[in-house]
Amino acid sequence: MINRQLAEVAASVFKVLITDLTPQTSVGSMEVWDSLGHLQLILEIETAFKVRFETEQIPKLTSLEKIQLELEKRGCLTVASKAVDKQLNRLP
Amino acid sequence: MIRLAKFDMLKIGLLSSRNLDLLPRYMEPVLSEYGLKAEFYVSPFAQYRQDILHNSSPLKVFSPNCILLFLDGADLFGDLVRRPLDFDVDMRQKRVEEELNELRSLVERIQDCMPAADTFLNSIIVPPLNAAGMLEYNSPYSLRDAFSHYNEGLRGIAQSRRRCYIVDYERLVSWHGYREWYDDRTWYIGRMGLSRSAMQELARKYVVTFRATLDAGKKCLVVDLDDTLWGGVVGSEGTGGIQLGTESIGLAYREFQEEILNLHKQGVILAINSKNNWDDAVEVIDQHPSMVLRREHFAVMKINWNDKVTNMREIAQELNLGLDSLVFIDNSPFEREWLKDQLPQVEVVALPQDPAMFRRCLLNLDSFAKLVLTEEDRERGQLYRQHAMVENLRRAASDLESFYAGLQMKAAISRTNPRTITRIAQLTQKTNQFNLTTRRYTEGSIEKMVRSRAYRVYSLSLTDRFGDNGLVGVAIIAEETEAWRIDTFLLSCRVMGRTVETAFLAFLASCAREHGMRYLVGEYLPTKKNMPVSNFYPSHGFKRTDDRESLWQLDLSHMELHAPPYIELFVNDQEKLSFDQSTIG
Repeated sequence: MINRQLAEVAASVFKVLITDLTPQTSVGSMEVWDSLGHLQLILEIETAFKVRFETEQIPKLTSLEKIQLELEKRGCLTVASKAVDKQLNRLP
Repeated sequence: MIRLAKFDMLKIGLLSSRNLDLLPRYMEPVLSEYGLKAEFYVSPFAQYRQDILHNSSPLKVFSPNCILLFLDGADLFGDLVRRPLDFDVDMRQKRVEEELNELRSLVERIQDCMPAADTFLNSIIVPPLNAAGMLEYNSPYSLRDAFSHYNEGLRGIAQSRRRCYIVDYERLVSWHGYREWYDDRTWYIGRMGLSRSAMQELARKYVVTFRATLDAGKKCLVVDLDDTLWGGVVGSEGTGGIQLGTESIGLAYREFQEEILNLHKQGVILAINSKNNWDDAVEVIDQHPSMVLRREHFAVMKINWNDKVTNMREIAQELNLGLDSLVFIDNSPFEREWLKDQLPQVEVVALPQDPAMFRRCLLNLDSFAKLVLTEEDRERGQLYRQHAMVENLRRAASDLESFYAGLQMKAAISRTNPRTITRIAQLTQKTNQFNLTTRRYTEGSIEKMVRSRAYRVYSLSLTDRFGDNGLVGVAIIAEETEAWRIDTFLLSCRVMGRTVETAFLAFLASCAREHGMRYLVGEYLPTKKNMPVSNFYPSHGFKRTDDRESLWQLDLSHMELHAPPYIELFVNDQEKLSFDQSTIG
């Protein structure tokens, strides 16, 4: 399951539906996720989650899964946002 | 100026010394906020020279109506920025001249090949962290002199050309803060270098600048009084108890008023929308020594106990403006929410809580941003005041005759002289309603007609008891064998509805008769906007001619035109003063 907030950011950047995204969605798996799209996604994620990635890290965060892992590592996926996840997962 | 209808398409060509490919994505939401749509062409990274100079380049094929040429100072002067100690003052001077010369030839090429496009250049900012460090100003080494010299060169480039504007990038970055603006990571990865917030702010600035070229900004600032123009509530605290002065928070209010006055001097109309007793509020406005804004600055003053929405509608109506031309400033979140809810077209400013921040808030508003200041802008405040007074008179008058008489109008009619050619041409281009034939003339054409024996160009200037309205009427006569044909007859909407046109027409008839003409022929060419004057000629006794549908004629041997007795007429130079109102029956 992709974190809801992360999915919302990606959907908005790539102009797709949240349901079009999977944890495996990555650079190149969608036409819009090219090198330009990648930079835009990183910048939007940094703003949404109040984080800052290092230069060398940025090209390595190639999939939603990897990004989510990194956000978890940094403690950005707060209890609150996880609770929202849980709640949303209960919805039909 | 780009002339586009509100939802027409902007075709934006974006060229840059760095990678700004993401910029269109940040511009799109702002464009739709302003009701604009755009198609983008983004020039490949640092290919701007080729795109501009080569024939049939992709930029030229795209055929933009708007060109953003973003050149970052660190890109243009990279050598200087990275090695400031290698450049003495002469070398720096030389580098700047090189860059300015190249820029001039690029702009010239753009304007030759894409004359319909507006071009937007940008000022540059010195990176605050650079190797010259404290040596700047204290030694012969400098970055700042070169950057300033370049920026001054930009001023010359823009002001010596039409359709070329400078976006003050330096000021923008300065305000937001250099350290948050540039993001070196994205420079190393993708040659971008601007942070996300920078791209957002730059995108907004570009869109606001386009909007300024479309002359689609807001026209009127409506302000509350208590706790907005002064601290406190005058109704309870009295004139002496409010905070407005040269100390402390009173000074903040005074400086806020000064900024409002600055806006007014740029042509923004001011109005008041306040819940107060008229006498209490006006006492402050007229008498308080620290008021900067006085009664004469306000075109409309709605000071009453009605609800502010009603007041706002009346303000718009009295000023003959759409609600979407108004900006509202009020300290009360309650009033603001109510107004936003009821009148969504009005722009409501989110005034901060602290009066110390009011000035900044006002200065940060894009709503009134202008690129060009015209004479009319500078005079507008005055004109609207006059208009408001005229409307008051109209409402107060018992009938039309007494209204007209009360205006104490004096009209001066003259043949055109070189000084008035510009204004006359302008009127033919801008006047839509009271314009019988809507023929648009350039200054050159007017001049030709003035010099020609076959034409006579007359202008009418009007003063009334409230002031000088300036040159407001134009009549162009084509001399034919037996007739004078009125090629153009127009009146500025400022002075419609006062029978000035009758005085003008009566003069033309009398003049034609003096010159031995049998007929005065008028032409009416209908457009979407001039329906109000479709009956102009018949209502003055002109009859249809047999040959063409659009022509009307007055037989001067049988018909006299009655000039309004309450307009005092002055006829200048070449025409004999034989036109005497009292002899017209």
